[in-house]
Amino acid sequence: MSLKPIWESAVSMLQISKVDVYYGNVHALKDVTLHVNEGELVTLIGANGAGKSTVLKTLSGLVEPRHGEITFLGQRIDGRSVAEIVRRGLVHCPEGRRVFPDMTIGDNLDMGAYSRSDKDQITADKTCVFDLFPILKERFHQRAGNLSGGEQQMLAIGRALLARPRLLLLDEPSLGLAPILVEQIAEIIRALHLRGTTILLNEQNAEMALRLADRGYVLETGRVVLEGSSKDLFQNEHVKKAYLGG
Amino acid sequence: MIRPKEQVTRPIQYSMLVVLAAALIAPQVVDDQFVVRLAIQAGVFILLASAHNLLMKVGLLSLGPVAFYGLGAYVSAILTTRYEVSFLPAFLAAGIAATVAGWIIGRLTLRLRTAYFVLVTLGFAECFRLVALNWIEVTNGPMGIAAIPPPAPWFTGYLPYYYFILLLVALVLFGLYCIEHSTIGRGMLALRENEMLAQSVGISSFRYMMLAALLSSFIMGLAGSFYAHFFQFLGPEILVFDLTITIVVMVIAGGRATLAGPVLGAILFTVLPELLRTAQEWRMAIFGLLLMIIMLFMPDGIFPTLHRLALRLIRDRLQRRSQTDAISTLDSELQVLTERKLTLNNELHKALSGTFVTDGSHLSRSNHVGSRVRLRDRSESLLVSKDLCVYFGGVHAVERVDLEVKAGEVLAIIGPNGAGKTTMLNAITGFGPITSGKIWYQDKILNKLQPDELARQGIVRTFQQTSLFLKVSVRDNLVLAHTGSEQATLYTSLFRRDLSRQIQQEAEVMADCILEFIGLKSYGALRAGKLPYGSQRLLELGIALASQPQLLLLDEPAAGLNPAEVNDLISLIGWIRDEGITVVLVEHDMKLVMGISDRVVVLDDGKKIAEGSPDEIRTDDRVIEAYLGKRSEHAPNIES
Amino acid sequence: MVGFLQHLLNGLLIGGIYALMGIGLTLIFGVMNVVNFAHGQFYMLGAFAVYTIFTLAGVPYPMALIISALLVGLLAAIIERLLLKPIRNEPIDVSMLATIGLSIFLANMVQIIWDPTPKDIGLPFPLQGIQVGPISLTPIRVFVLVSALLIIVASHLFLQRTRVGKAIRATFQDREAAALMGVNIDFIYTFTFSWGAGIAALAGGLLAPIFQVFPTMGAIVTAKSFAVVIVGGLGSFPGAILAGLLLGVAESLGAAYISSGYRDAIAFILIIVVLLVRPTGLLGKEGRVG
Repeated sequence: MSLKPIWESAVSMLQISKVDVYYGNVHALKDVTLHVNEGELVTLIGANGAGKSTVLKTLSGLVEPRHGEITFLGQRIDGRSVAEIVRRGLVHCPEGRRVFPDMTIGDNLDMGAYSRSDKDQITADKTCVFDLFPILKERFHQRAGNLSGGEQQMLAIGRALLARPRLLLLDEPSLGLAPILVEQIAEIIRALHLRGTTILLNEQNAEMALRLADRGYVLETGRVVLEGSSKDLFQNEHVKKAYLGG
Repeated sequence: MIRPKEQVTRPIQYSMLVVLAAALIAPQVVDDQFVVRLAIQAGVFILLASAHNLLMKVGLLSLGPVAFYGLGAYVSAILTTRYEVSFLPAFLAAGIAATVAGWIIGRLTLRLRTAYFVLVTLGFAECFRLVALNWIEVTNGPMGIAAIPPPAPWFTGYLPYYYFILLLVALVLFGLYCIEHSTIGRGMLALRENEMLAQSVGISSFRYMMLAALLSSFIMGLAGSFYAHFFQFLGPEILVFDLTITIVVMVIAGGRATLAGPVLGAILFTVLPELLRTAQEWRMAIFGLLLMIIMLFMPDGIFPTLHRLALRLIRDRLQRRSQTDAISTLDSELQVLTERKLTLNNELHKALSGTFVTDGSHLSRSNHVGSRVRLRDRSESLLVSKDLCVYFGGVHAVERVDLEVKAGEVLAIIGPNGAGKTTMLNAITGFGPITSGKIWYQDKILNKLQPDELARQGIVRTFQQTSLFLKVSVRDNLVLAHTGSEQATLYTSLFRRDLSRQIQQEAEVMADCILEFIGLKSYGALRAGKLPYGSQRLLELGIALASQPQLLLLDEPAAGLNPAEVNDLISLIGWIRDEGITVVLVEHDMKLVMGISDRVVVLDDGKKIAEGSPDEIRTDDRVIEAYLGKRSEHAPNIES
Repeated sequence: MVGFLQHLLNGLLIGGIYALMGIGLTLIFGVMNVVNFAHGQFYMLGAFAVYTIFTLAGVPYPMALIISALLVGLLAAIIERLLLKPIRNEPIDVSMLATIGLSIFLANMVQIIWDPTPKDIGLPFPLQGIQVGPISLTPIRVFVLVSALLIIVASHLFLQRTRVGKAIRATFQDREAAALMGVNIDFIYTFTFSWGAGIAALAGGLLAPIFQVFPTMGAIVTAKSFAVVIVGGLGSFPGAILAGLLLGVAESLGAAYISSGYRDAIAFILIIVVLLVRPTGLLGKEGRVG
């Protein structure tokens, strides 16, 4: 069951075609096709284990697809190394935040810029990140492991931004956060989107995801079962019953 | 597999008998004395490797075996040469001395973690060697002890020794086999696979490790004594690190934690140096190279690798196909949960109350398995904490929290990250420290107990991160979890095998009931690691239930579940409560909290800031400000 | 009193070398989670390389040190790729056994290529002692002490300030996250192993003129390196330094004032005592390792 998009397709940034991914013998992604256009915020919805994280890990190069093609900015990236994919501007902010606990905020941000060599731009970008997340500037010399969950999430996003992403992959940013913080993170993601960052978002919290996104894909047991504008998905019966709790 | 199918055990048992018969006859047929002597050596190593393997079975990697072996040898040698004790008492004394040493070292080192444990055991072995070298009055130092008498005057030639060691090997291997297929064996498997999880269901890490250490050192002591009386000369050169390495290599290259692996390794690595003897100075270099190659291509060990290959040739294809089918139908199964309400309720009741129906007849639980669940008066306090403080990492994680959990209720603890919820949970279940304050459970003070002791009292928890026995089947996960409530003694394992079998049967029946309850019945044979995420979380719940909890503490059970799965969880928790089990939930998912809790406690920054019914909490200003936020999608508009 | 100071100084000297061994092993254990039983063999190889390059070929001593470190580092890189990389994701005892095999192989190959008799490196500096107050110091010992200090400081700065150093620390703390930053994990592993081995080779080369050189000298060094790493606390760089110095001084004073027969046992006694009192080591952190 597929809802057809009704707008003109803009500049295509990312194209995933008929991708199959296996973990050993387990067929984790089956014939997945999806795309992201420049400037969009696209979300992946689905249960845990449906394959959302696998999609992101395949995009960032942590996992290699067995079949299919992945094109980013007009070039094939499936099979390329993680480092190379990051250099091209596809940056994955991982699930569970994964900041480096024994390194300072400053060092964490430096790691974000690891693949870059333009020193001046890096410093300018750091300033931008501090504007976006003033609390990180306040706690600049603190060990990342001592930050709260919400602050760590901000650090993780800031660190990803320092890689100058053309496409930002956000993996479950609201996971394990208190409802009040979930709101804050949603605001930040909206702000990033409005500034022009193209985002592919994985979210367990379907309600929040669809409020933020332009379009969405629903994954179940490794397949894309639904796609459409967020408004259409919001009103879809199956989505409402399975993912919106009503 | 905990219990291999009948078709597999029969042929194995017969072939064992054949091997035994062959071993009995062999020396009569083979004339070469050199080969017999080699066989005796191999026999000693089989004992040492199997004993060392016992430690591996509980996940301990030790580098100190020579200490026990050497101690046994020296004790036996000294007793028979200097004090003219006859062989048999000296032999037993050797075993006992080694066991005592094992107990002492165990008490000191078992609480250390892997890498530390490895090196401390090495340290002890080295110290022992230096003592043997330097304490000349007792051990004769580098000169060694000579003229050690044979076990009996008629022990001439190699044959008596051969049969003696054969007897020892047969007894030890049989004993190890019995242990493996008993409660103790299952407990050890659980500890090896996932120590934290095993502790949370009542399997005592310390007790099993100590048991393994004692048994292991006993066997090594006996082996040492045998060696002394066979070789009839004893010097500190038997205590060199090389011997330790040899034993460890035999176990790991042969196949750790298996029964046959060390035997195979012992035989192989006794014979190999002899074969290489012609290579002279290249001998050890080749040995090192061989070791590297084995680790590169057979990291599990030779026996498990061969075993796997054999299985693959025989039945792999058929099994694999049915497993992948199983995964794809899993999701549709879950959605039918609500329709099966009545039968599920029954299953849980059966599992917990101890009356099962098997083969058409009632089987009531034998008194070898504890049954702790009783319906209680709802106003009774089950767990109370007073002024609880937990201070670590420089932070007041929990500050003066008073908590009361009433019997039979579902209590939710909510609050921002870092509020102290998990710290509190850890403190109650023994997984984390308590700085000050008291916790009472059924009027008994809880404070200093270990997690496994608490679990045996009925306090069981689940974990935030998925925690399962991943390499074991779904059904066996539950059987292992049940081990914590079984009375496990060495005596039962070795001498009452009928009882062991009965206990195992009960565990399996109970496992089936719980499988039915959590809806994973068809996936019983699937490896737990292959389950989809939602089912893994259900299995975790099942594991906790299998250990007969009175107080069940769930750490973010809804994490990663979609709203439909959360609904199922609400039903399951409801039925668990109906069985009389008290539930404490640490959660972020408001739908779950509002849907099932009787009362809610809110923590922020280590302190309790609110407490009351779900409705009261939802509208409490402090809670909204600190935690819920203004957008109350967690407000009660769950109507569509 | 003079005797005491002399022993203390000797202890610090040996301690500095132990600290070097500890640093290398902490890096390898911390980043790669490998229990490197062959660590002492890299020390031994460094000594033999210096023997060959300095004693036999006549290259000046400091130069010989550097060349030998580079050669051993290169060998270690090859070993990492061939032996350790394929078993990277296996449990910890697999790499332990593999490095045990490597250790046996290296020690015996050296025994075959050179011969088992102990060798004298010869003296790179004049023997005449320098008087510093009441104590007499030979130039070689001053050289060793200063070199050890320099290497320790340089390593620390490298880890804290350079891009690669930060990448190593990041890989230590969260391998997958580091990969997502564009860090080449394979490179980090190989580099760390080579670096650790190179430091061990330097340590071996530095002590070579003071003691003799023979193929089986590596084993006890491995054991003591582990003692240092554990007493200092797994994964703690400053811990390894502190523990190394502590061990050196303890051995020196212990051998002088208690008994020299049990000298080698001091390392283990130290481990046992420290771990009983502080199970995570002197400067170690909470949590299971391994």
